[in-house]
Amino acid sequence: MTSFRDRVRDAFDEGVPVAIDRGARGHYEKRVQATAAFPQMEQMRDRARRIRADVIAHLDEHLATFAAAVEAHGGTAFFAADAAEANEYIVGLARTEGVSRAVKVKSMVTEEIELNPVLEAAGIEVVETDLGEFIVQLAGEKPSHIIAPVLHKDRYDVAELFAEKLGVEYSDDPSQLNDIARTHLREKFLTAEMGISGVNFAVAEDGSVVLVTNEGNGRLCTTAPRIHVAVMGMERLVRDRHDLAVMLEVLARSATGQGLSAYSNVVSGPRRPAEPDGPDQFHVVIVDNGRSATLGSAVAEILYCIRCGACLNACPVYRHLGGHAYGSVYPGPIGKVITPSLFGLEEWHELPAASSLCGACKEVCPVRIDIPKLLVELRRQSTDEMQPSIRRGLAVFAWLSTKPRLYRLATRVAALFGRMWSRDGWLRRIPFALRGWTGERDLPAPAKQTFSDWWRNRGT
Amino acid sequence: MERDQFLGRVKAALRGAQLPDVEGPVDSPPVTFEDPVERFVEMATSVNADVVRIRSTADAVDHIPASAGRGRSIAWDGLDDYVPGIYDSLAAAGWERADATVGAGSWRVDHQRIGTATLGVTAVDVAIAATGSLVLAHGAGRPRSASLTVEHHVALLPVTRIVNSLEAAVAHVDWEGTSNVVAITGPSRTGDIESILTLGVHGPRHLTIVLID
Repeated sequence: MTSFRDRVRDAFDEGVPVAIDRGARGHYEKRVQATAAFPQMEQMRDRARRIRADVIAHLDEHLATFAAAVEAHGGTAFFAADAAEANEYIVGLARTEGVSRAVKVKSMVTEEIELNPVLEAAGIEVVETDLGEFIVQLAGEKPSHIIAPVLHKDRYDVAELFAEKLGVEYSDDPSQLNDIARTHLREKFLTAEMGISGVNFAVAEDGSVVLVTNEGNGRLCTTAPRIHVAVMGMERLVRDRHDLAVMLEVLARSATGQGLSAYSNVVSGPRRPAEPDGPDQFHVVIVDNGRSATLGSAVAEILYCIRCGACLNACPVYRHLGGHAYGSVYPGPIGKVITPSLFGLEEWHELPAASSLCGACKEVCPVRIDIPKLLVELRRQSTDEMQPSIRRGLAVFAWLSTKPRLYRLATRVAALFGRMWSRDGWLRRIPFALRGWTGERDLPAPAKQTFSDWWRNRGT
Repeated sequence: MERDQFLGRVKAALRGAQLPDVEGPVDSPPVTFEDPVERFVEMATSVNADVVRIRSTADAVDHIPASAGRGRSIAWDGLDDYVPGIYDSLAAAGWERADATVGAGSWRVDHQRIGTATLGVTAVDVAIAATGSLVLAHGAGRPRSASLTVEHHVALLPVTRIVNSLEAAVAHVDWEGTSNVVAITGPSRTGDIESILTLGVHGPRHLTIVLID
């Protein structure tokens, strides 16, 4: 994969679509309005944080309770240590059951474990049914936002894509594009043998899984096919239905500014004997894939995240870059912590650095995760362990700062060189180790007088 | 991975976890409204549902949509508890029941047949004033499809079933008897393309709530 710096440069060179900034801002403003219209919001956020903290602190016990409850309803709970185990289980099930087509609800964890290519390699057709995710799949791309996967596309892109891939007449009217997708996907829903979903919340006390969608594809995927497979990160749990209610109060308001999404769908096992519809089989795949390592680390708080996407919308870096430049399925502020935690800091150490630590993410987080603090912690680890040259450079600076005479001399020399290299008051390029600083921007030339000289002479 | 091994790994991780001290409240004052019914109507309307209020149950059938054209319908069992004679009225209005293939209480949804139904009629277990939502518990004679695969969903709601908040609604649902409970807030919707609101993506395009006083 290309480096983060290259991807950022590409994003700027190509010009990130205005749609991203507009879309993210739109979601952000809707959240502000929804929060203002709900006087209990701040208290609900406190409660939601408490609920997440309590469940994560005893996660092993709640997982055991949850799995037992799933089985009591006639479902199956499978524990997957990593992506490979999860994918192997699902493909194995599909093979045993003779599944040739699976319909999917948009899910971050199935993106994370890269389930679709594994199913496709086994000859099983996988159809994404969330409108945005369906568009992403047709285009052969990756989602650019946790809850709005095609934030990077406009209606004309979609119109051309549908005309090309689905052989329909060109239309750039969103409502007609919607009808095209509805007709195309309805047939898939009614013929698929397996429905695959993620899980917004899983309720430990009764073994239910909760899917929150606006389109209704979450309900169709868990109703029409005869097998439902729900894939969940192991931290998705809440203790009981009362806690679930609190989490739902903050989720939709934070994500899209809705009081509740159109469908909050609570699924408890397969269809009961007398029920007229619903699947015959219900499987929950509980995925670790780096989460227990994260739990045992200094950034364990990130497991409180409920994937609402509010921090993406609030983040000035995300709004300028878009989701793809991050290079991970989890973009934005939360992704800068989740990605290195799950997939390794060594490979992803640049992500925590790509933040101004402005704190906009922490301000909007429904469970008040201290994202800036976690980013600083990851930066500390990455410089300590992986970038000894930075550590050495800072050590020299620290030593110099404690030697006033030497420090004054050094700053004077640096200022002298700085002025020598500058043109019209600007440093366009600094050589050697510091050249990265002027790669994308100019630096004002140093003043003739250093600050400490000015300070000493200020009274005279 | 074996379950015990998986859980053992989580337990071991918890011993080294650096989690913040969180002492937030476990409770907060209940959400209440002076006039929950008025609030419900306001909120349901704001999410694009049509709300009609009837005084006499005989009027209910008048609000079954005519615009969708007559065809097949899916209706829950037991609706005549709210609106006596509703099944006969539906039939008289030209709606053939797509679901009435087997005796009441034991029938299964045939998706090929259901796929052709354009109207779904359901009851509501409890409704939420704060958000204008309807909570439906599915079960025998109460198919999910009636509020899902159709073009137009008509929900019959006695005003006495409106509560203030989602938290309050949790206690009014029979959770044990069902594999599926859904809170419905307006018709199916998306803003995926340029954040432009579009109704009826996969679920119903129209939602009519018949409020029965």
